[in-house]
Amino acid sequence: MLNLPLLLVQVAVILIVARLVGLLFRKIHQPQVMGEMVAGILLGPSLLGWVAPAVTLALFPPESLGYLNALSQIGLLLFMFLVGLELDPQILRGRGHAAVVTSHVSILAPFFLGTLLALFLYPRLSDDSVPYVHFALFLGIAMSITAFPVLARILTERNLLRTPLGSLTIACAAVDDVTGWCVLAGVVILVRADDGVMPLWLTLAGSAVYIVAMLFVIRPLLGRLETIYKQRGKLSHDVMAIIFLLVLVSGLITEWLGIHALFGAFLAGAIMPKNYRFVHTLTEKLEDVAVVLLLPLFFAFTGLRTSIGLISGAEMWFFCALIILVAIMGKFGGSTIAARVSGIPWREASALGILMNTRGLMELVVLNIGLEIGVLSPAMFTMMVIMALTTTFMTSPLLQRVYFGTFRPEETAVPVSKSISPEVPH
Amino acid sequence: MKAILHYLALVGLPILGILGLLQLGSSLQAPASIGGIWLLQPADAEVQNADCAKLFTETAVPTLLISQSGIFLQLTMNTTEKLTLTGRLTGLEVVAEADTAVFQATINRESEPDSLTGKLLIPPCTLSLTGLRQPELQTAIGGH
Repeated sequence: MLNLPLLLVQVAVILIVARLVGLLFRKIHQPQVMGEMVAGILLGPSLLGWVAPAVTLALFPPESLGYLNALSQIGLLLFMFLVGLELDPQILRGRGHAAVVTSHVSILAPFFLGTLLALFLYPRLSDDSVPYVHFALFLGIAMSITAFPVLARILTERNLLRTPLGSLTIACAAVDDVTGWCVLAGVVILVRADDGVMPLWLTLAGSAVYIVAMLFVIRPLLGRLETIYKQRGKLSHDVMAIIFLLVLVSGLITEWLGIHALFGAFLAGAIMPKNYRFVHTLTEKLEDVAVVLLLPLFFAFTGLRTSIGLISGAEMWFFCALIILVAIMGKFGGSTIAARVSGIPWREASALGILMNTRGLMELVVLNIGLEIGVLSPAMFTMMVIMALTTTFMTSPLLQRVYFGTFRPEETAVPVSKSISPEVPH
Repeated sequence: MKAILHYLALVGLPILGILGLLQLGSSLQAPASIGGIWLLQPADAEVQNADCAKLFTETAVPTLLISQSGIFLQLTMNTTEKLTLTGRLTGLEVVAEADTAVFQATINRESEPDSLTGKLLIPPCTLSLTGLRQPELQTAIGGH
């Protein structure tokens, strides 16, 4: 039964801790989202549950977590919609050879190294309920993720968005995002088909019909929302209700198809009109609730699933270090080399590699899906969360050291797509 | 032409590599899946022993929660004072320890559902246990 006072206390505590830790991280020049992710870990068994287990049990009793999870999932749906909303195909136009090669390699290099690492980790950190192919593909895709929203935030804060480096990075990250989610959808379909939840043919046929309908039926209809917005100069409650319905129904369909509700929300955002003012107004309306209130609940729920105590002994910490090393080598190394081969100078190529190595909360989303579908074991999940935190944390200081020594971005500013608003979500 | 060659080398080779690795790993053997909740049945004679009588409360069904990450295990028992042990799975043998306790068990995967036979040693009590896996029961937080 719903214990409303407890739920309200949980949300309040999570919000306070997320804001405080986020503030602390901003003081050390880290993105707010980094602090909020760490806040989630602090509230879980890794710190609060370890120091004061009675407090954790009182604050987060297992029977109450279903409601917290439901709220966090609603927040994630809205967040994924915002991520899709921020994506604009215009970003890719005119980026040329370097963007194509770099974005493809920045997915494939970590994917390759992830599947290579799977050969070593599968007999040690998985079990026979998970086929090797599922484990390897999932590890590959988890290594390939780039946090498009965090990247956009970092580029904006560093005044890099309108530089050649910034526009190339954001184009690569956009391609990574779309490709990554498509591959992840494929892996989830594969896993769930094996579980017998739904026949594979039905999932594939249903997905094809759904995508075609979204692109060729719903998308043109959504153009009318933009027209209404232009006529009235604001997003009315009726228009907002239609948008919310689209997100929910799209999420429901992809969940029913056996992919995941988040894919539906993402695609709903991706097909929305990309007029700058429309996107900006819609983002402003949703961001406060989705990003400030609900997303920290997702971080807290992730933190409750993350138990650093599960990584015990030198052997497990070695595995964890190996995961981090491979993740960095694949993403940073792959992106840097591809950019260099495409004719970009070493310093810019390195900066691009550093930025693409940012995994942020998109990685947490992917990891939670991995845990839910049973591909990741609890310790493996924790190790991957540590990897996500490490790669996100290292971005700002490394960028400062490698790129900002002598370079002033204003000197080479070029225009980029207007749809990349300076107020992107996390 | 140079650009195409670069692209083929940087994109084509990793794709071939991934396909090769997926093929290579398909013969790998992962540890047996034993994670989840197990209902325990202590041996009657031993549980009435004065040393062991206080281990489990009379009202709660003795259960063992195994959180499995490959060969690495974390075991939690709902003993009177919650007992958490860490251990390993070697083949079908479980060995787990805490400061004052040792648990050893052999898993039988031929039975339906999976079963275990083992011993819990909390000096001065040594308790023989049998257990049945409850695959339908999931933990609230998820995982294996």
